[in-house]
Amino acid sequence: MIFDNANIFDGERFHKGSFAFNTYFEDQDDEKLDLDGLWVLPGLVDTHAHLRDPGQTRREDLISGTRSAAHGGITTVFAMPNTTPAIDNEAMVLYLKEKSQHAKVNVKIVGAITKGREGKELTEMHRMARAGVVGFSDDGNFLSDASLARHAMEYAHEIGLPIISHCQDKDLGTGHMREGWYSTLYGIYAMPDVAESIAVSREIELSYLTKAHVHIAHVSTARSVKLIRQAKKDGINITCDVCIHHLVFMDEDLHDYDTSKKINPPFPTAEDQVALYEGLEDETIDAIITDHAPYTVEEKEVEFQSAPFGILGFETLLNEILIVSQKGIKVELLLKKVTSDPAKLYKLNEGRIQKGLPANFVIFDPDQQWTVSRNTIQSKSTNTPFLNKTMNGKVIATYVNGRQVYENVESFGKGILRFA
Amino acid sequence: MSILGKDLFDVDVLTTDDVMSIFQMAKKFKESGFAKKWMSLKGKTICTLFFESSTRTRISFEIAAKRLGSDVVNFTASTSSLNKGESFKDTVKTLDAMGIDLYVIRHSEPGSPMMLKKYTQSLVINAGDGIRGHPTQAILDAYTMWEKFGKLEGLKVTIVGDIFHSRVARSNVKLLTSMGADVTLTGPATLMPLNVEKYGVKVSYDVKKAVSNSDIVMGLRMQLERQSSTCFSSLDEYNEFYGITPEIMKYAKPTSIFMHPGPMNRGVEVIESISDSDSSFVEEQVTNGVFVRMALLNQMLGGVVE
Repeated sequence: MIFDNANIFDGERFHKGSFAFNTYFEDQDDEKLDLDGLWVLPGLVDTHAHLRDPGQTRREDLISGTRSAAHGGITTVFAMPNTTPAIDNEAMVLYLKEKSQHAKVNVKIVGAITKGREGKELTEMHRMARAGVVGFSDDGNFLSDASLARHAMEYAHEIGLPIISHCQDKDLGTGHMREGWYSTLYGIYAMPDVAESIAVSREIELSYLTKAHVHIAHVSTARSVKLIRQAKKDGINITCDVCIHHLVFMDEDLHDYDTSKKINPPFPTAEDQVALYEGLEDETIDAIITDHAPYTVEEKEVEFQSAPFGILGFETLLNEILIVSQKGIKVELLLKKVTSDPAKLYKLNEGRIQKGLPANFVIFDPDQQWTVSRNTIQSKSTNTPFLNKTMNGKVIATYVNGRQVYENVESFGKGILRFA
Repeated sequence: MSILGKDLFDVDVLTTDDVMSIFQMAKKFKESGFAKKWMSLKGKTICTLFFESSTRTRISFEIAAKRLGSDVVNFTASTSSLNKGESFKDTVKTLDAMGIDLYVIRHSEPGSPMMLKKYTQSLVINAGDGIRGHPTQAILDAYTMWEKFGKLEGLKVTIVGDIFHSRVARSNVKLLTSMGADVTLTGPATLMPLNVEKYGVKVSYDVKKAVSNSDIVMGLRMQLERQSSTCFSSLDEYNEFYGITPEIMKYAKPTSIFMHPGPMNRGVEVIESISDSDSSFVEEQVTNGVFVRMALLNQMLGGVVE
C-alpha cells in the first residue's frame, strides 16, 4: 500500500510526500491511495491511562479501552495500576499481558509501588520488572511515607525503571478544584497549588538522594514547573508530563459544575496554564498524556463535590492538540510530546516514522469535523466535557504493526482502506 | 417584572431595577401586614426541597407561599427516600412528575440548584447551596438595610466572622457591592476565602478597625459543623478577638444596627447584650424575610396583586 500526497509528521517535523508500508517492511502491494494532504503521524504514545481492567469493567476494559485508544490514534497506552485489585504482583502483570494480546493497541503496564497501593509495604518490584512493567506508581495515592518512597526509588533505580509520582500532599490536597478566586466564587472546596509543589519538591530531593529517575505525572502548577526546571538544570534525574486537558481548560470553566470537568489534579488557573505552555516550549515538560479515566454515567451524574475525579482522554487527544495549537503553541511541538518524546522517555522502540520501527501510524484529517456522542465514542463511558460537541479533526485510520485497527468508514468508503 | 419566568440561582442574575422592584413589592406586602391574605398564586404548587436542615428559611418560604394562595409541599431529606439510597436525580424526577411550578432548594452541595434545573422545566430558587450562595437571605438583608437607612448606596457594611463557610456572606457581598454599598469583611485569616478582595470589598483582620464608622455590623454563625479542627483554637479565644461585643459596637456609628442571618451561637460570635439590644435588627430580618420572599415568588410566577 502506498499513500500519496501525505503530510508526514516523522516525530519531529512535517514534510510532504509519499508514504508506504515498505517504509517499515517489505511490501509488494503497490496499490495507491491519494491522501490529498491528510496527515500521517506516528502512532501516538499515551503514557498515563486508566483501563479499569480488572475489577472496574463497567467503566472500561482492555478491549473497549484500546478500541477507544485506536479511535484516538493512540497505538501504545500505559495502563495505570489503580485497578481492583491493584496491579501489584507478577501474576497480575502476566495476566494483563496475556489478556492484552487481544487488545486493539499495545498495552504497557505500570506496576504499583506498594501492595494494594496502600502506602505501607513495597511490592515485589524486581519480579514485576521481570514480567515487563515499564515503571512503578501508586498513582492517585501519593506516598506520604518519605522513607518508604526513598526505598522504592532505590529499588527502581537498581532495576532501571522510573517511579511515576502523582504529587499531592495528602493533607493540603483535599478539595475538588484549584484554590483561587474561582473556588471562592463557585463555593467549591479547593486545594492550593502548593499541595502539588510541596510533593514535587520532596520527590526532587529524594531523586537527588537516590539518583532514581522520578517522573512527575500531570504537573499542573507554575510552581511545580519552576521546581522541575531548576532540578533539571541541577542535573537531577527528573522528568514530567502534563495532561492535555490542563492545556485546554481552566478553573474558571467549572462555572457549570459539570462533573465531567472534574479531574485530579484540578484544572489550572490562567497563570498556571501559561506556565505549563512555557514548560512545554522550553522542554521542561517531557510529554503530554491523556489521563484517560472512564466513569459510568451513574457515578458522574451526582453533585459536583460527590463526583469522582477523572475525564476521558483518548478519543479527543488530537482535537485538543489542535485547540492548544490555536493558542499559539506549535503543533509540531505538541505532536512530538505525544509521539517521539514519550517513546524516548520510556525507551520505547516507536514514536517515529522510520525504517526498522513497528508500523504504528495514524492517518488524520485536520479539517474533518465529528460530533462526540454516545454513538461515536468507543469507550464504555462518556465522561468528557466535549460530549455532544463538534470537534475539528478526525482520525481516519490507525495501524498497529501494519494492521489496521481503526478506520473511519465515512471518510473513504468501506473497502478502500483495508488490512495490509 | 423582569424576573418573571427566571430562576434565582444567585443574586448576580438580578439587575438593580429587579432588586428595587422586589423591594417595592415587599414594602407593599409589609404595609398590608401579616393578616392580609393574597390569592395571586392560587392554583400554583411550590415545593420546598430541603436536603439540609433548616427551620427559618423553609418556614419563611412556606408562609410566604401560603399568604399568596399557593399550595405548598415540603420535602426534607430526613423524611425522604434519600435514606433508601435514592439519588438526587431520581428524587427530583419523581417530584417533577407530580406537577410542581416552582422549587425552593437547599442543599449542602454548591451548584445543586443548577443541577436540579437539568431535570425540570419549573422555576428554581436557591435557598442555600453549600458555601456558595443564599440569594434570598441577601435580598432580605439588603431590604432591611434599605428600609432602615432609605438607601444602600454608600452604606458602610462590615461582615464579621466565618466568611469562608458563609453562603450568606458570599451572596451579600455580591448584592451589596452591586448596589453601591461599601463592604468590609473581617474575621480570622483561617476563615477568609482566597482572593476575596476581588469581590470589590475591603478585608481586615482587625475587627475594631473594620467596624469603625460602620452603619451595619453583620455577624455570621460560626459554622462549627463545616469547619475543620485547624481553623481556630478555642471558641473562648475566638469570642475575645472576633466576637461582637458592646465594646466593638462602640466603634461603629451611633446610628448603626446589628444584623445576623441566624441561627446565632450566643456567646460565640455575638454576646447577649448585643443580640437583644435595641440596635439589633435580627427579628426584623426574619419578618422582612417573609415579605421579600412573597415579592420574589409573586414576581417569578407572575402573580397579579392590586
